Amino acid sequence: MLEARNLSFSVGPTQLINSISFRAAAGEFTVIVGPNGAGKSTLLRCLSGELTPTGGNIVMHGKDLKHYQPQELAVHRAVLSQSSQLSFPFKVHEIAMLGVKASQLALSKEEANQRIAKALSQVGLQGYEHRYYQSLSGGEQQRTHMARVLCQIWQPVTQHGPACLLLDEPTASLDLRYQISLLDLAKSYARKGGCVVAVLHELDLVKAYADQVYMLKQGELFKAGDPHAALHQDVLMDGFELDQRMLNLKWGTQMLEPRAH
Amino acid sequence: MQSKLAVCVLICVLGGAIVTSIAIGPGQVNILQALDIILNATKQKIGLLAPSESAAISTAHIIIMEIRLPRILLAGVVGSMLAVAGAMMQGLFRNPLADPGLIGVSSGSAMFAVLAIVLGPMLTAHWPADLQILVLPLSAFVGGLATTFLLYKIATRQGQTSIATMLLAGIALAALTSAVTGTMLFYSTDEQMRDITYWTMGSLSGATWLKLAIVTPVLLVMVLSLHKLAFGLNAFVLGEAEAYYLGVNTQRLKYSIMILVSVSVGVAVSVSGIIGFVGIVVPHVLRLAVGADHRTLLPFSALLGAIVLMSADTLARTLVAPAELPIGIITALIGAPVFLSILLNRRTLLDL
Repeated sequence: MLEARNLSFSVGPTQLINSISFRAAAGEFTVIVGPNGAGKSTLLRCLSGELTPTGGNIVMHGKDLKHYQPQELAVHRAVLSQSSQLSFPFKVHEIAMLGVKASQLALSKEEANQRIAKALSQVGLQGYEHRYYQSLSGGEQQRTHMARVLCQIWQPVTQHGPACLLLDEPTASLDLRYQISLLDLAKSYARKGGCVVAVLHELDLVKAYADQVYMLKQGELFKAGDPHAALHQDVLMDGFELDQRMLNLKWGTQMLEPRAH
Repeated sequence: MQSKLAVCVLICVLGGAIVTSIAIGPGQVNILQALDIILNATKQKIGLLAPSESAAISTAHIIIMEIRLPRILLAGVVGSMLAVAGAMMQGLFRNPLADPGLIGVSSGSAMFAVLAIVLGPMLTAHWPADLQILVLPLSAFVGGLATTFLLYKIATRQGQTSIATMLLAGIALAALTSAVTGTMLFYSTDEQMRDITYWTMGSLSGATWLKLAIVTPVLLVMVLSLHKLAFGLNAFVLGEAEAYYLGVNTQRLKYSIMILVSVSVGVAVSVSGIIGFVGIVVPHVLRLAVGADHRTLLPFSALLGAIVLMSADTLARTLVAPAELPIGIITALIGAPVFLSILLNRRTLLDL
């Protein structure tokens, strides 16, 4: 379980997050939504331990996040961030291997290779081990990172407690099919006892997948609750400052409504 | 599999380079004689053979044991350090063209070395000759370290070092140090100017066993730390934030690499002057040959760096014998075309 209490983060005089309380339970898919600049990514970066909050605290497995060493933290939580550019040509296998190493498990070479192969097949990249990352499409690159992240926290539940999977706009560069298959993967990770937190923009996908939704607006918590309550029309109109025409346009062009299993 | 083969090849080539370098040069010592001299000297050192009478020491013995061998070994050690330092800098700065110059160690060393050459004779005129010899290398070492430390302080705020600030501040500091260097050139005599020019092009001609004994432990510490740093540098390929997510203590990594690079390049520069291109070309060639994984790249850089500088030094002292070329000319002559051809041939893969 990952819990933030009265979390604030500011850079100089600018308050990016203001006293947000947040709770992501094990076994649930928790989604953060909100307009641009609401502080969604900042919240996720605080939850990952990368940013140290300027107020409040974050607790994972009953221990304050700032008391974790980076190496220890990497065993319990993994982060899939928005597209990252590599500085040197790496093969898909080498990238996934970073996840295996970060898991701190003493796997034999065969076991590591098997795990990587399995993770790659889960994201639809079986047989891509020796392809260069730079030669892949944007969506394939994103899925490579998803495979790496899975290798890092392979078991949704360990003897220390549930593992945390943090996803920052994971579907941004994916086509419809892989948006759904990636969220299926995340959802099943949660169902096996993991703790999954994602920043998402596609509200139709949020509706289909989220167990719990946190809507942020201007650095503050605007609404929290199950998708039905948090994505209610009135909430959306206020939260995103929409008018009726925009809302009709959005839901009017809805092509399909994915159903989570 | 590929990397095991590469290790064997590199070790064989290194052995070959050592043996050929020992055999080549003025003085008419053939390879068998040379190996015999080294074997005997080693046996004497470890007590297997009684020390020979001092009168019996031949010219060949002096050439091999006092001049050529320490020089070749020093070239190997310096080459290793420069190549590994280059690979580390490129990993840390996430740029294939990064070199130790970026953290100010070269420009700082150069400034202090020039100060020592121009002002040294005035300030240390009454010192014993033994101490005077040490002024230049010591100044170069201290200057390199001091500049790196200053740059690190400038770029660090609230315990976090910004790589981008370091890069930009490094450019400013390099401009500043070159202004000082230029001023010193203005006030220098013709002879001093010649010394400065030679120093900035590098040379291993002053190699002694003492220098080797100072430099080698630094290389050993560096090599022993490679294994620990490799994972961090691999994670850095994805970016600094990603490296943190993967469990790397990024601040400690930056700190360790800055210390290793500034100390190793500092001692390398102080014994051999400024030698360019080894730190860029060697890791680059290896990335293309065996891949960018730092677990293999770093140790292979140590091997290939030694081979390259040893061969370059052999060329430097034989091409225009009995005179000598500055080794920087050789490394630039070999390095620049290799570098350009790599860029042109593999541009798409490197994503430049």
